[in-house]
Amino acid sequence: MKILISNASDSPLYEQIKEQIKDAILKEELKEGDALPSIRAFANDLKVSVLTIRRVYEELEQEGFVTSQVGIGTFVSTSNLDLLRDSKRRLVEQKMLDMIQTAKSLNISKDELNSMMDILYEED
Amino acid sequence: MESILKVSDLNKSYGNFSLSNVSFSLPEGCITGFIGVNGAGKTTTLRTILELTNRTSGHIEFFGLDMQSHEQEIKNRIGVVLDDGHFYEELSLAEMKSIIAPAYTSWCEQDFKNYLERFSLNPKQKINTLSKGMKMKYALALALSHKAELLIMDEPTSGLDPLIRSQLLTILTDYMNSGGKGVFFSTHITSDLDKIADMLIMIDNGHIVFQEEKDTLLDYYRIVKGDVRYLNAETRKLFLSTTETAFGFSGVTKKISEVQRLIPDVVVERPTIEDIMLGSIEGGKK
Amino acid sequence: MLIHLVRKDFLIVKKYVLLMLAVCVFIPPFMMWRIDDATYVGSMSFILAAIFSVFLLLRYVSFKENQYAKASTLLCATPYPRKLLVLSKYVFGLLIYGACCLIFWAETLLFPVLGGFHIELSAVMFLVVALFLGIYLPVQYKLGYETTKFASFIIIMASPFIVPQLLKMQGGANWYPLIALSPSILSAGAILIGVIVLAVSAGISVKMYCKADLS
Repeated sequence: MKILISNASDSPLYEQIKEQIKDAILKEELKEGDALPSIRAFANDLKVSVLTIRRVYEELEQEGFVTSQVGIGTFVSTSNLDLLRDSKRRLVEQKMLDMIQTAKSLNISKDELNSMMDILYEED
Repeated sequence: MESILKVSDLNKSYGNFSLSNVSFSLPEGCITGFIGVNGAGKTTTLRTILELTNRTSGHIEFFGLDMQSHEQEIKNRIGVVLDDGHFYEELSLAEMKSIIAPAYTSWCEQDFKNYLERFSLNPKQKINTLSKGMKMKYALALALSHKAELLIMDEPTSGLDPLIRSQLLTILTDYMNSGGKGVFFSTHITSDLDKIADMLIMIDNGHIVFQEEKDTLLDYYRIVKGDVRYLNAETRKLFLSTTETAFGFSGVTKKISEVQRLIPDVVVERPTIEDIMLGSIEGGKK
Repeated sequence: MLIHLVRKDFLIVKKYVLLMLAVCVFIPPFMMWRIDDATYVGSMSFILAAIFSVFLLLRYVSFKENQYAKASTLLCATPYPRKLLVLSKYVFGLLIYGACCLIFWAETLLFPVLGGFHIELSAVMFLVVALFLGIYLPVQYKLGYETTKFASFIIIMASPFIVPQLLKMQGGANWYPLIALSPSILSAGAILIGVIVLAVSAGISVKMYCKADLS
């Protein structure tokens, strides 16, 4: 699992970490039942505070991505995965709708939009 | 999450300095940095919570126990490192240890020996032959060899070179990894805390200025640099403090979106703890 | 715990203790050499040895504690109760006196001219030691090491003037009732008063130290 925190980003640290873990789960880099690192070890490796990792794990649990057992650890739980994948898809759809609306108001045709997307998609 | 230390409304007066209604709590499992400039009240606070000086009023609780009624029991569970050792310097390391060790019911001689070895200290050496850094390590060895749950340190790194400071940070991390429940240390060298602290408490002029998680602090404050032209009564209010030169201004702010709305073309950076601390002091004086 | 704190006091003045014990050993032979009148040799050497050793060692321990004042602060941050830190000084003083008695008693066995070990004298000296500890220690806890040192210096310097005055004043007093008492009652009385003095003094010192703000 790759977690890269950016100091230059505007997003709070805990959110960056949380989103990247969520992505790893969605992309199935982390599978059902996989153990997440202990809070302290994780905090040490990422050079963030234990309180931040604690918050990440708590929110991940609230959002249904992980379950934690006191004294044992925190584990990936994919039961809510489809729901979440759905909500992420919906997010993409929403952004697409915004994009289409803007394009229409600027008189950009569907074909133009598609070729723009082809170019931008390759950029990564 | 339980607090391992809870201080409420601590008041203490000395001549022309006083602690006023100092209140804070240390969550379990955290390394907490107690920051402030020299003379802000860090040492006074630490001395008072350890009952080394008398408080005028206030309440102190360790591990949920009241300090006034459980003093000995609490002190048994705390490891203390005071700045500059506080030893009988003419004694050897072993002799000084033989005075301190019997005070604690859970003294572990093996732990002590291991620490001495790790720090390359010879027990037969006289304390006054040790360098400042070695004295601090010795003090740590004493503090960590009785299964202490909480480690309290008063300016442990002042006067020490970066290498020793970084070794100290490693020792603290190891301590937390092997059963330590908390570390509370006062310092004005905030760069150490950037790396290791979980929670920060700042004191200035006897008042607590803030208690915040370190990452939250660094997430919500920003350093902004921009053209002096845009500093006016309205924009100044957004900053904790500003410094101005002929080439521009730089300021610490919590309200970055406001700033970006009102002032164009600014450079935005994440601050260090030192930036926030300095900003908070000057802000207090306004 | 008290035992470790007393041991601490001995540790910080290690070399001086050995010196003082040696002095205790050598005073009687020295006095025997210098004094021809056998009646006083024993008592004089005992009195001198006791005063010397207790007085000087207590001063020295106070000096060392003052030199490393921060060490007591660290000790107070440990579970050692402040009360015991104070009591250890009293025990220290009494142990020195005890050692002095032992050494002298051993020497009386070796040197008959010293005239055997006088219980009455040791009881009176106990009272003297108790008075010394009883006054010196609380004063020091109240005024601090430097002031106490200065005060005792003044007193010692003034003693050639004060002592004759005191002697003159007591000239009229009636000592006969006291001297008429049997030696054992005198000794028991001296010890009892000594113990009371120590207890009261210790109580005062403990109270003062427990309230003190440490550096």
